Amino acid sequence: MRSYFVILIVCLLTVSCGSERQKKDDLRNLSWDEITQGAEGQTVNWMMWQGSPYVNNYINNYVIPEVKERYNITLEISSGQGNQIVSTLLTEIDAGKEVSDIDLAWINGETFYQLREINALYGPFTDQLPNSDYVDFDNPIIKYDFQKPVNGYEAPWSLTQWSMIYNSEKVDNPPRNMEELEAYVKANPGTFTIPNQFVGMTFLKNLMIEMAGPEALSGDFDAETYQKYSSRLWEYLNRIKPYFWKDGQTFPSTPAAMNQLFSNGEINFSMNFGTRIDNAVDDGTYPTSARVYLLESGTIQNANYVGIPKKSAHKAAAMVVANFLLSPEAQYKKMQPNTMANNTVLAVDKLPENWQQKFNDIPESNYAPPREELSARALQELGPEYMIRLNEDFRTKVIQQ
Amino acid sequence: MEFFKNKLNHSRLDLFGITLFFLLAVLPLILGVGYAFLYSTGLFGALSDGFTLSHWQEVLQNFEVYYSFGFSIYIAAAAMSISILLALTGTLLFNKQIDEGFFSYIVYLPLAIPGIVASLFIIQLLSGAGLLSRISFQLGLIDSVRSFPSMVNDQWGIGIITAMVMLATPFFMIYFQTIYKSERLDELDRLATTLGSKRFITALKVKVPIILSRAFPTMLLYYIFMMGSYEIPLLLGQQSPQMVSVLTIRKLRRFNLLDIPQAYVVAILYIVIILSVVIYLFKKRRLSYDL
Amino acid sequence: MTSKGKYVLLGVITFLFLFPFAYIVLLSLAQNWSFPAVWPQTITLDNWKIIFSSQGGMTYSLVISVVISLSVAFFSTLCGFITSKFIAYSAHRQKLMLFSYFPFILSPVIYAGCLYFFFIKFDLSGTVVGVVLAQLIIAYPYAVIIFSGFWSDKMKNLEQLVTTLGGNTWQSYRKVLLPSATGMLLVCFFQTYLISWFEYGLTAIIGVGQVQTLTIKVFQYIQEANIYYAALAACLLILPPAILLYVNKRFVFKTQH
Repeated sequence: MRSYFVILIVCLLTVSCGSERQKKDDLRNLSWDEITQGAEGQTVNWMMWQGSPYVNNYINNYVIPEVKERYNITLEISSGQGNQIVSTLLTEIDAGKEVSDIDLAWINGETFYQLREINALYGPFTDQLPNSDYVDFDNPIIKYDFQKPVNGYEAPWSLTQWSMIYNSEKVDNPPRNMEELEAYVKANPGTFTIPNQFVGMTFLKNLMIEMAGPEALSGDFDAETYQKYSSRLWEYLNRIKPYFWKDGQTFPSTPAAMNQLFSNGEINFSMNFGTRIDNAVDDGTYPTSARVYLLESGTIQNANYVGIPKKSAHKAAAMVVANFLLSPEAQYKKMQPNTMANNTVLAVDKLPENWQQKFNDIPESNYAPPREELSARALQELGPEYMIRLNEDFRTKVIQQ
Repeated sequence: MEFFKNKLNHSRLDLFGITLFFLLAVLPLILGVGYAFLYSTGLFGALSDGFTLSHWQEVLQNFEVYYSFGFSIYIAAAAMSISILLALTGTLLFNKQIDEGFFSYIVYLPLAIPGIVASLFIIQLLSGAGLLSRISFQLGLIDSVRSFPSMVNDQWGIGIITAMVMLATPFFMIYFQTIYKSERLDELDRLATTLGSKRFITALKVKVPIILSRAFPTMLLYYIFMMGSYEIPLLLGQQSPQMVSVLTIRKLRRFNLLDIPQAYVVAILYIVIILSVVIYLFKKRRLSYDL
Repeated sequence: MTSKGKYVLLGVITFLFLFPFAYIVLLSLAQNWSFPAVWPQTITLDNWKIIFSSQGGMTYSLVISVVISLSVAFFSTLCGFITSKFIAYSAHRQKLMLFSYFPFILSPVIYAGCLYFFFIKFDLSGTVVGVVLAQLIIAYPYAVIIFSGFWSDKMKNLEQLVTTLGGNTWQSYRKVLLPSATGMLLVCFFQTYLISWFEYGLTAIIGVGQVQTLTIKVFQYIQEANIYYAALAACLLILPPAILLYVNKRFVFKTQH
């Protein structure tokens, strides 16, 4: 008898937790007003990488209160990097789950690619967002995500360019290509390292582009080309690895850890997605002698996006949030010093006059080369397979050696 | 009639108890192991193609999993030996103080520290720019951050071992002391001294073997528990080799989705090893609650 | 070893045991403590003030951690007590105890990884109830093990005595079993509370980053390299158990068995 009672209680609890999630269907045929109405009072669970305090600050102190006030949407953040988002959604598909735990995901590149492969994303939806009028969807940086067409399945959010940071007090001439880097680490052992995650892997991609030239690696992934240049890359890395920090025996696993090493002087270089480090210098994360620089052959610039899982029960609210993120106010705020401080995905010339003025007035960074120089050296991202392969091969071919 | 009713009453509560046991202890085990097995052999999973042993082959042919198990065994053994040594010394020297008094409260304090906080502490203490490094710098022993020896994220797992010792030693000190008391080792001590033995010899030849033999099941279980540690090696370990739990979870979150079954292979391997040890324990000795 | 030497050594050991606490508290009060300073450059209560503000979600983590751990402790103690009786008197005691030991020593995080699928299937992933249930799966067998030492022949005889004298189950529990077991029940409650309170890996997997307990917060701050907030969350994590341990110790001490 009592066991049935227990089972009943368990069922009741589960049902009561599940009932909050109502199902909302096809939004394609609704007008934006209807979508905003439907979004009212909903809760959006946004899974994103929380490894940057500046991003977290922007989200927690600006985005969350704003969407609550403007649209009465409760935005909740859960921590999860790209591969976690994919494995969560994959397990949901395995389990035949009707309603996803995630309503919005911060994604790009190989994550987007894999989510499309398992058909986990809702779309196309970006054309329904009013603020997408301000976006130039023909711009290849936005139109293609790691060389794969976006086709409206994710909404652009920010634009960042990968950069190196060096300590100008300790380094006079930072190395700008592979040869110079090799000479540098041999002369100054223990002062350089690579983080073992996407920021570091992008550094490796930059090196491959340096070796092969951007055309050779663009377009669809070619296993032979990859093999040819990656084996040279591993040979190079294994050659200079003993001169890395901690003799190359271990690598920092997060950019935050790497930044700490940089700021307490253990290493002289750091890497970053983003070219404005003003906020980091101001709050003491970086020393005042930190400077941004690019590699000779250029560095990768990519866009990142927000996507909506197919089985989300709060698609309307998620779309409203995505639209807000794309608004001139939110994008402008995002470029301010103490927030994400990266570049906007909006096409400035499509904005109304007063906004154009505002965006153009944003001052240059004190610690980086001027914007024209940076964009002149911007490279396009490589196909997602590169990221996937590099991640694995770095482990087997360099770390495990 | 009354007697019969009472019998039924007993059974109802027991039924409840056994149902709970089945639901909460037996079922999850079967489900968990079953799922891991099915996924690892490709019989389940959205991206699988049907039964295959390829994942098993991949894992068993790659040295990574052997290094990982070996490393886990080494770390747990090192941490265990050091903790047991320290705890034995502590208990034998201070058994009265552990039993009652001010110190008896102090010795419980480290039990309030979880793995994650221990890791945070060890990072702050032993890393390149940590407290020990700073003190050495102030004392002139090292001249820059880089000269400080690598003790965190290093190949010998010094940081991991230190954190584990930090947590295990107080636990075993308390545990050994309860054995000390229940086996009346101080009476034994007096007896031995009357018979002419020196305190130190008594300690070594009499007390230590008794304590260790009584504590053996718990020590073995704690050893396995150390091997499966997650938070500590996650923060204090290096990329390769990794301890078993860290390796499994890493593989579970693979970039290459088709490799996820490998995580389940590692999980099954680990489960089989643990199961064997526990069954061995049960066959050889009666495991009573001594924890 | 001389008596004086012994006391010096005891003093050193006491210092070593207390040092981590003092250090973590100090770290939580700092905002700027870089190499090579051996003492923080700034000490302030500002960090602690954010507990009371909504920013950072520290209050939420504290509350949710307490709720989860209390639930886990309560249910595992209650259910463990009831179940262990059946197992202790059963003929298959050995085999059943095997099932109890297993989750206890298996790495909780690997166990969670294998069960994650089922939590998703039953809509329990990312929910507080799901996390409580997952932690119960670890804590409940532990409770069974703890209580297995309680059901001795003496207890059995007492129970039979109650029955012979005309009492029913409820009376035997209330008047005889529960009072004798009070010490053990409290120890079990406390220990299962700690198991849940300290759990990270399992909570991270089943909670899908949505159930932000204090351990998750500590980890997050460490990842962000914000060690001062990490130390703050760590303080919230270790100070309550330290106090409770004092209370618990008095009880264990009182009910020597």
